[in-house]
Amino acid sequence: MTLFLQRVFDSFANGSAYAALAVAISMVFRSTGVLNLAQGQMAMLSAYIAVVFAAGADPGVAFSGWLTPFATPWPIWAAVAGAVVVSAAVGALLEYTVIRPMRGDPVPTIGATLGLYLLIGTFVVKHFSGRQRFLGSPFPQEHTDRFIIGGARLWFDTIGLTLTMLAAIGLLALIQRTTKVGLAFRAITSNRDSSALVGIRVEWVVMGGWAVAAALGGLAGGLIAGELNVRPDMMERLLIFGLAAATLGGLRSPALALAGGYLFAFAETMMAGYVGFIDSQVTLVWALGVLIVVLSVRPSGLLSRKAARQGLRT
Amino acid sequence: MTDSHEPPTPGSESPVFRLGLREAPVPHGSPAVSVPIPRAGAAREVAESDTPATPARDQAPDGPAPLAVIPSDSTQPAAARWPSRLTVAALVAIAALVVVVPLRASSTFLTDVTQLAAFCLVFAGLWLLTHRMGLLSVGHGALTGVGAYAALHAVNDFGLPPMLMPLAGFAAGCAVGALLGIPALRLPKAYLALLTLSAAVAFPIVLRQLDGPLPVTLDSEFIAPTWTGIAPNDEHIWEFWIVVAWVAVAFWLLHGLLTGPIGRALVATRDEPTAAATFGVSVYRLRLAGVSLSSGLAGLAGGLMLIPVNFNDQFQYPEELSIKLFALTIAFGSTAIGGSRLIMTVPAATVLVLLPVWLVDRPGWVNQGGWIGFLKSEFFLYAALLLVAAYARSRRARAVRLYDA
Repeated sequence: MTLFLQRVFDSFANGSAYAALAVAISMVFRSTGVLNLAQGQMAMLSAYIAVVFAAGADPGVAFSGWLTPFATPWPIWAAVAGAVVVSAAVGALLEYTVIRPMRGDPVPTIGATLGLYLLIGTFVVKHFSGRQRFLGSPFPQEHTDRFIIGGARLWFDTIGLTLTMLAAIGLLALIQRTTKVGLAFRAITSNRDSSALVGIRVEWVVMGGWAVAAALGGLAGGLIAGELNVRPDMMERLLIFGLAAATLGGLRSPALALAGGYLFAFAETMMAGYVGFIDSQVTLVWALGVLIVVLSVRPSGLLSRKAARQGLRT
Repeated sequence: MTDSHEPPTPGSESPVFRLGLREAPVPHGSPAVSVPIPRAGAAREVAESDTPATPARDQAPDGPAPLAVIPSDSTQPAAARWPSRLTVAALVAIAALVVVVPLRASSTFLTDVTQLAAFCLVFAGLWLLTHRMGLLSVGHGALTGVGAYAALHAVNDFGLPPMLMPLAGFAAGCAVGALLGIPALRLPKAYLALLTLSAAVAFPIVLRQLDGPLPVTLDSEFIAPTWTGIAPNDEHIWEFWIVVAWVAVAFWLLHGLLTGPIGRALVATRDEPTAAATFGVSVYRLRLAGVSLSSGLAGLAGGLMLIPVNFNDQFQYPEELSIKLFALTIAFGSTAIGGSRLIMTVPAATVLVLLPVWLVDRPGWVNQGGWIGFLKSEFFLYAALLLVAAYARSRRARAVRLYDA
């Protein structure tokens, strides 16, 4: 029982990252119909930006020279926050310069997101030499920083990461439900043309959606960097799990995407722990298998059949 | 619909005949009707067809609204068409090159060209999927790997004659393509991209689990028959000819398929799925068959790839390969270099295979860091190509939409 509980706790950190990416993917897909395959790379870039902020003016780290007025290394929480802000700006910029000109045409738009995937990956490899970097966690990480529950250890770091991600996603949901900006976002996800007719500035809202999604992904990248080392391929697996989790909600339900993120992380940890022939790498294949099964049984995810009906029309 | 069994005269044929599709069942006693096909997207078909773009509305300016825009060559029976002199001359030139070049080229270069020929098939599959069906795959590199794996084990474990091993690759590619297509094609197009990208990331992991971390070698060699006069050390020439023969046959069959009713039906599922369904086309099944065929071509290419390379391992088909394949398909299918014609496979495969060869000779170029290294890197070139091509394609699609409106 202790081992089982430990594995449940272990799945929280990964689950938070998967959930954040899944929610970000769902947000972008809902508002623009674009499947952003570069979401993982944008999160990885955010982790590197956090490394730059945390390094101060370290000549061994690219771009840190730009921070000469702030030569003191930033605390990790500030570095992550700074990276989130920069990520939001980058997300808005990419929407304006790359995605918007595609005008929602699916082939060019997915092509553009793949172009961004390559571009960001190459940018990081060329500027940071592709080497692993250590960022650390903004939460306490000493070996005594833990709770013991039923004999299993629940680290403060894991609690902090999970609560931060849940708070960010909850705040996002609250903004969507209670503010005018959120109302505008919900309106354009429901009917883009009608929203424009009633005076909503659709392009600004879509750009805002990209910025928020990039910020959420950036937060996931910055926080999960405390668990993983920062490296160019750190988000590859996370992106696949994030996509799989988003699919559970038909790419349109952030709530189911959130649940899917934790569900996939739980299943991954359990399979790697209890099934002898499955190591942590192969769990990715099982995620793909689950994805195929879910889409076969419930083509529109666990939410509705609307997307299935749209399928043949698109 | 007409009950006549005589071939309709030009201008009087039914839209069903002109589309080359199976006629939709008509309730008994229903009056004969001709259903105009909506024009939206039709001009795009003209723009992307193999014939000079001449909108149908220009062909019949004074008549009633055209029922469908069909490329002029597509409306003729296949048997009545003869290749143009230019086509014949090009085919003769290619045949001459295929015979002469291997006798002059180095073995390294010839191995590259052999792979290039095989990659033409992968691009043909992607071209079919992207430009003929309007679907997206970011996993054709993995499907090529699936074909290579199946072909290798069909020979090593099941004793299949090595000359036939590409067929095992084709079958495996078709099966995996269908597996991915069955759930994805019932949903918006983005799902196929999602599933294929997942497959591309997962494939190297699966292959490592199945075959282990070390390369697996093909337990067979391709020895040239004595009548060819090829020396024992020059087996790469024989391998080249085998691959080219397979590719030529596959292209011939594919071209025949796509210029026939099935090809036109595939285009109809891209531009007007609702209209296609009205005319009795099962859109889902046809798309599934198209995805399966496209994947099968990638698998066939994987089987052919084993002929010059002779081994298979987890590093040969990374997800970056799938993204490169997709990038080049978009790029060369959207520009004037190949238009949306099947011939785009040749320049695309040439860039894919020969660009890394060119870069290997320039280590200073490849290993440079910073902004200059970023701008000179192979992936930057691919990303730039992809972004520019995507932008150009979206502009053209918008122009077509405006024209249709």
